[in-house]
Amino acid sequence: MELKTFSAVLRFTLQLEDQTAQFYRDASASDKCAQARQIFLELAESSRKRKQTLEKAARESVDHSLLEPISGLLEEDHAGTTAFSGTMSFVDALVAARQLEQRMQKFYSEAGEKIRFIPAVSRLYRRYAQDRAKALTLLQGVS
Amino acid sequence: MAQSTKLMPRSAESTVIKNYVNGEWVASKSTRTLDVINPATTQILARVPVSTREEVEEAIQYAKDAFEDWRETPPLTRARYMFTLKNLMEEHFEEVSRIVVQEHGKTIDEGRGEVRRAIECVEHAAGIPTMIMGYGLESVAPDLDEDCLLQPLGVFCCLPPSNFPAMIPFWFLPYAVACGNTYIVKPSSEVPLSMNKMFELIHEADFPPGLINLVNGTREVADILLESKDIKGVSFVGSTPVAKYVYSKATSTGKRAQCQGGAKNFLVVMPDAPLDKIMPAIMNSVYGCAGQRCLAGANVVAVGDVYDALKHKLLEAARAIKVGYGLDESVQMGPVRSKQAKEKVLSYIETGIKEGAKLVLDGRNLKVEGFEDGCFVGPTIFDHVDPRMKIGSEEIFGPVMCLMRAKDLDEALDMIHQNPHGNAASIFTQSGRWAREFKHRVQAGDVGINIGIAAPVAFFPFSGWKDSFFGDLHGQGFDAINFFTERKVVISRWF
Repeated sequence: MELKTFSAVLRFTLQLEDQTAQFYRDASASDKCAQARQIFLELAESSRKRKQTLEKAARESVDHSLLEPISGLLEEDHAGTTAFSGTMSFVDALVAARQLEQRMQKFYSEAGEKIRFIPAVSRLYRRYAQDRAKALTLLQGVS
Repeated sequence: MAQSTKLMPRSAESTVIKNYVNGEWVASKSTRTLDVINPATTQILARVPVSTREEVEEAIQYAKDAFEDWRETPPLTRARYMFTLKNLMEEHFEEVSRIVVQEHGKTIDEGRGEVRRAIECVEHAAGIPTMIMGYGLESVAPDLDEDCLLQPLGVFCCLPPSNFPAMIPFWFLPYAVACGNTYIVKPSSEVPLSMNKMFELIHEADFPPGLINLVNGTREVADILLESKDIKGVSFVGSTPVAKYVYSKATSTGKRAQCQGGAKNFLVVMPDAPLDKIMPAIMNSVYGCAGQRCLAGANVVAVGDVYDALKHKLLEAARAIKVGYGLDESVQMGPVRSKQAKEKVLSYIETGIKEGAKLVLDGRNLKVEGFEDGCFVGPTIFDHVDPRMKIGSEEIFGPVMCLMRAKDLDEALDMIHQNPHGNAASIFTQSGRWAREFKHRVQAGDVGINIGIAAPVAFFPFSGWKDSFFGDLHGQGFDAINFFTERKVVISRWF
């Protein structure tokens, strides 16, 4: 489905952050991932904070005079399997987490460009793309 | 984020909303009521009373009685009420936004954007201690000092339109009250529910009784307010003929008046404009809020050889706009406000065809699945429009774009200046020289340079020239402070 409005983009973003937080919470609760429990908990908390900040920024920045139609941003291009499964090994969980961060970095970069007409939120998206890149680097350092 | 789309319980059709007078919700004794209708679903949301003369006069009296105490309230205390109100508006942000969508028809983004602008005015008014400072000079003559004070006047009122039910009253109300005046709002009878909700927040903010009042009704109620000797000033936004009427009636009874009228705004696209970059702004300008804004772009003027490429891109972009019910976040344009509004827009489209303009995108027969009875008009584009045609010169107030051609910037400016309105105008260009020339010469009050909707933020006046505004002081900004206060010059000497 094409995301054509600011609120559609925001809704999708918050959905993705919900999925991110859930993944990390579930992973942190799994015995198989005990060695990365703290990292996963921190990543879950980061996701929660991002969601909170985005909601606030969107609420405070949306301006009827600046709203513009959006094109070329598809949900299907940025969705992916983000659920943690109890049968996942630690290695599988790490791989899934890295893929998740990669996907989210790409989404935030692309979506941020599309919503430049709301500069405050667009800047947040760019920052969060960088945050997700840092998270990926962190996860790549975990063995 | 899924929420119920129902505004009121099933008995909504029989729910008659109340007035808010002297700090209380009061049921009107009037037997006359009007339906408040969701233009997308045609559901009756509630009923609004046409208040009686006695009820209006009672509200005026309460406001007058509340003035003496309120004007003695220190400005910082008045500012604190604004902070409280702002926080309540933030808390109920989404709720009010959804009410706007349901009673007006705009999209949820547009509803949120409107509520945000209303909050900004309250935030700005919270700076009243500084804004209402006067000035003075010692020893203007030996032993004589002279001061200029800004003092409130009494009871003010506003008669807002139907297109921004949550926002427009806040262009005026917070400033009036922060300055020390008392206030009466008469919302549009077509869209009273947003203000109804806002007044629930005003009640929760615990303003002193009588300070801010709400009376519902139609033109008759407005006339009572305009005729009252106890009302010091009136703020109006609406069509030009009614703005003229309100201005004339208000000033004939000694009131101050600021009356914003209609518009026919031009978007001038120069040959060097980066078309892909400006297209979203033009689409928002013309089709945002289904064209029902006084800042909406209406006439797009292609200057020089940009015409062919521009026309192609306009058609492509307009065709892609998704029309539907505004609570669906994927929808980019909602219905027009009412069946009557739709008929008016369709009538203009017929007129345009008869006048010889070429209808290149026809939005008349749009049907939205699931909302087949809704008041939808799809994005519409006329080509070969002469600015002297009715469709090129009169405010259509719907999603209709008129495409025109000009050989150069001078000709484009002439087209703009021939129109009796002067609300807004925009130029799209990468040339600083053209932009500066446009900014300097254009006879319009709100000017956009590479901006499709030149909407001033709260700390600037909402301008408008010619038949788009009657009065001297605009809403918002320091104009508002000057409108809601009078100067008192004091010369003092001590023996």
